[in-house]
Amino acid sequence: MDAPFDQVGIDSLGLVEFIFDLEDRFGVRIDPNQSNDLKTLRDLTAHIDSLLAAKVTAAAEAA
Amino acid sequence: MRRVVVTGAGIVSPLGSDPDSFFANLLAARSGIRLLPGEPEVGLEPLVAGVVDFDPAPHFARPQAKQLDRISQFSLVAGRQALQNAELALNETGRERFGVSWGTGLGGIHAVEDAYISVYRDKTGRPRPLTVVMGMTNAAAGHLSMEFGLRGPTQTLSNACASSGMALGEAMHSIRHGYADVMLAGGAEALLTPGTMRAWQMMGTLATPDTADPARSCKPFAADRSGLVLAEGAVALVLESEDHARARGANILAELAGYGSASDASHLSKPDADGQVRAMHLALRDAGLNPDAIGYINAHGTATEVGDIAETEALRRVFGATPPPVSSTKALHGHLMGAAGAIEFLASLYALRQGILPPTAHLDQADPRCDLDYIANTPRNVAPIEAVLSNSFAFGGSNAVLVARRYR
Repeated sequence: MDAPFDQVGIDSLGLVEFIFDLEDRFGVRIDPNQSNDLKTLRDLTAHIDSLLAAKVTAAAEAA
Repeated sequence: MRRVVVTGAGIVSPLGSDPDSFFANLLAARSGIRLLPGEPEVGLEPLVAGVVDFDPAPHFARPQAKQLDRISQFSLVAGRQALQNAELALNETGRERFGVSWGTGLGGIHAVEDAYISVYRDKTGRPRPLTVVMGMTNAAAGHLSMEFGLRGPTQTLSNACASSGMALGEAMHSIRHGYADVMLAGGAEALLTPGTMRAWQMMGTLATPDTADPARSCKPFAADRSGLVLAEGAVALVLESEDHARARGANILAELAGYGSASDASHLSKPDADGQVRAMHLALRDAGLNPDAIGYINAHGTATEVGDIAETEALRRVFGATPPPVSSTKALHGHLMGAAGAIEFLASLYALRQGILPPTAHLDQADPRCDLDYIANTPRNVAPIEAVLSNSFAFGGSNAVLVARRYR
């Protein structure tokens, strides 16, 4: 979880492709500028959690 | 000048996925061509094609397969086979002098077409990020170089149907002139996408599916021919300098002795006997052989009217009154486009080694304007032959001719 992506064999392009799949899977969009700060799987899952939470909040406010 | 020999072969094709069964299927006149239903919603009419039944799962882990266009998958599987067949140990040093010479017409067109579908049809604005590196024409060559650590020259030749003939010929040059000792050479094509197939249909050169038996739809040199049949696959050969092969005690299959490359400079799609004649003369001269040394010719023979007639005329002009037996194996494996030169060179190599000539299948009655000995329908045993010649003629007017010779 805490190993940097480049140490587990995921290079920058691999990460872009991975994020692309996750965006589709969870229906979120990750700002490319922020993706540079996502160095580990923990960073990435936390970030997606926050995006999903924001989405739920936004949906609740809209309702 | 160094001699160049062939020491290994690998294949992924509609007609077998190892070299021995490929050639056995040619001799048995088994067809690798079948009817596809088409896709009415995009205007794709039913058509016949040489489709490879290919499951990536035994060859690649899932994450890797996802990052490889079909053409790169074919290429890697054929490349692995060829290197195994050549018993070339890759843990040795010296791979700075091992290279790749690969031919393809359209490259990773599945990846490109998927991206266009995503952008233009589905309006996602999100083509896959790997589209660029999966679709680029040299992706397969790059993967071959990486997978086997081949750190010498890597080159991709894209000259339509002459691509892999030229890739083999130029690899031979690289070794002859000392730029490399070993070249993994050949080509691949995987263009059976709806968009590509539909574009071919619009061009009006594809064979009409044979109503009685779609597997018999490709009929080179026949009076009832109706056009070419698209196919996919990959063929890899290991080429080595004679010294390198002998030093490691390799099993030498044949000598790649001659290569001729000449252009029509006349028309983008209409074949021209003049350019074909010059390419054949160059290949023979390069091999140091007279025409009468050739015991078998694998024709380009696509089963288009203009193509079959032009090639017949060219063969008459080069070989005179009694040309050697000629066949077009495309009747059985279809037209592999960028891989055509390599698959047909492989068929020629087997004919040379085994003294059995593969037939032109589905040839019940020849077009009267095609009057050569086409080895109709059944294979022929012959006395040992000295050399074979394989033709590849391309849209764009490039002609590539290879001559293989018995090694001694």
